[in-house]
Amino acid sequence: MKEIREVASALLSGGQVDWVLGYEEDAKGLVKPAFITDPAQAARLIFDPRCVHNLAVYLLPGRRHVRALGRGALVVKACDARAVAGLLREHQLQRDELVLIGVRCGGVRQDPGPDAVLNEESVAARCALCPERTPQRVDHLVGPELPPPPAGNRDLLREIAELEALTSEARFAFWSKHFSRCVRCHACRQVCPLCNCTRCIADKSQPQFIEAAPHLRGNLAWNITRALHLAGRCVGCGECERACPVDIPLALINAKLSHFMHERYAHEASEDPEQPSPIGDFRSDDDQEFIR
Amino acid sequence: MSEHAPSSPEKDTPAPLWISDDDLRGLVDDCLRAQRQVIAPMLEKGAARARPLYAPLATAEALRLQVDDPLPSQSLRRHFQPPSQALFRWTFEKPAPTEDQPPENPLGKVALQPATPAFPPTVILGARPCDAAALEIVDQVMREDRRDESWFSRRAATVILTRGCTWSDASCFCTSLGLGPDAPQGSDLLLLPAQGGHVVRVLTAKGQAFVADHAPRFAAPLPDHRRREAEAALAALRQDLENKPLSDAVDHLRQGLGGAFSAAIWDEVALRCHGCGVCAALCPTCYCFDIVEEPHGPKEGVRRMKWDTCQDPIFTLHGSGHNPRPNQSSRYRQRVLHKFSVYPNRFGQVLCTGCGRCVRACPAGMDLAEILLQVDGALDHAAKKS
Repeated sequence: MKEIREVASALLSGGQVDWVLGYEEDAKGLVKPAFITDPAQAARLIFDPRCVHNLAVYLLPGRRHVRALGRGALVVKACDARAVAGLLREHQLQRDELVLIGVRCGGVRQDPGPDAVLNEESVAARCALCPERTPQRVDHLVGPELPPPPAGNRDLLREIAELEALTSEARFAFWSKHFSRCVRCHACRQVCPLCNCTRCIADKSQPQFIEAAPHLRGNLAWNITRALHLAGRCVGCGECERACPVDIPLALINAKLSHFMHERYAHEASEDPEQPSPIGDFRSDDDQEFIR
Repeated sequence: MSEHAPSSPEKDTPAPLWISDDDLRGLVDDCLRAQRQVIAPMLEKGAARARPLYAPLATAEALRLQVDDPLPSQSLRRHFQPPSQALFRWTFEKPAPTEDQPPENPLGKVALQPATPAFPPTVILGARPCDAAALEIVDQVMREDRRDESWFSRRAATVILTRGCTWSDASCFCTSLGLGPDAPQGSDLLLLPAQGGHVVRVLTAKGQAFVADHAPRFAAPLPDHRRREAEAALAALRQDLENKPLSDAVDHLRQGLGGAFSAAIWDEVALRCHGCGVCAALCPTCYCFDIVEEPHGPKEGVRRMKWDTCQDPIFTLHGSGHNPRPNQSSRYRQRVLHKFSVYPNRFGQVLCTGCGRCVRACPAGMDLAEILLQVDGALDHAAKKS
């Protein structure tokens, strides 16, 4: 915590950045994103298991009000750093526009409060799938090495295996039940650091590829499109599921896709921005069994 | 009392009644047998988080009477204004050809078939006071100018049995808006939890008629110590929730004082806002909608009403490409000022019940109560005093 504050304060007072985006705690014990522009305010910054948010989303080119603040520094966990790598890979960002303050992570909670306790009940399910808890390719690395997070009550791989054991009709019924709740607020998109389309297909009406009204047919079209578009790009930060106001278990889709990309294409959404994105990459030895 | 008149203290307030937990389950049974839909807080299995939702009960046994259940994660809005609602279906029909009159449209004549929504007689059991009050607040805009028939047919078909609040958290702020854990607004009956049952306050003629229809369920005498117990619990909760600075901030905004619209603070306030609209999706008083066409091929289709939100940039995007609310600070300001200045100016009530869902659910930690105080602090205090 002290280290983050020192680094942030030094970056701001040295004029290297105009703002630092990190985490702060409010009076209710809830942690939220904090934009710090004054070195004296760097003492507000904290890091603990409540720091669940993936702040890389604020770096999207569409966030003009953030870009208008000037050059910035971002506090990143390993998953957040993988999202930054995704933005670099897709040319949404220049690396030299940005200072990265990486913080070693011991897993985070599902929710950003009200306390920092990390146990089997509170831990985010995604943390069990995290390939690397130390952020890579950052400018400053802070925080002590932490033990791995406790195993959570919710086991995504087990849930996926259970779903795959179902008949396709039963699986369709499962997803229909959850997607029928979707109200198409598109919060899953708004909080996603990799949802960087200038104009989302869901907002297009001429032609209308995806029906806009929240009924099952349109909801299926939206959720499937979103999932496929993020295949191999999703870093598993879990923000979409956390934001979903109707509690659709989106983490299952994300984990399944990432597993699929690994199995079929040996691809991981890595911290290396030079590694090509599967959606924009072609290899002659790609598995082509689906082409008939 | 008229059908949807805002509730006002009755001259002859009926004496409170008592219903035991067994009779309450029996009441659900009675309603289900009479083909009434009963909507109550339920848990959805397999969701990413297990939180209560207002959903139809299949059996009386499914009724949850836990006093520590959190606020249902969604408001009652979807039961009165569904997220997607077909307004009508349209088809082109070729008129019989006549020799002298070629059809104006080669596709034929448009025929409309109304898509009448089936909404059964409904009892909402266990509404929270903040959610029931929201319906009465939104009634006003629904009857302004053109009466929203879909909304009012659902309102007319529904009896609302609200359960006094026994749960609150740091995000609740109903008392700062003139409501509270036993606020009567929007409810037909108010059930105050006590050991083994509920004290029943009869609030409207509709509530009175409901009690008369199910008289045996409300026949047991009200034990006086249970009434005192229920009222003491409410008084304690009400006191916990008091927040004078917030009440004052709301008053300033609703009086339109201090130049909130042009205040510089919105840029700072909205910096962390994602514009995701989760606040609007969960809000009991948000009612904005869009109209969309869904063609099924060139000759038929459906026109639907769907939820919309001012937090989405395309909400105000003009066909020309111009957007009068070009950034998140103007969109967030719209949300706050519509609720706390524009709506009360027009209808005398703020468009918020302090349920706190927007605070709890915001992925970026935007805290409306905190922001109201922050905005108030930045306003022109001299203007506020005058």
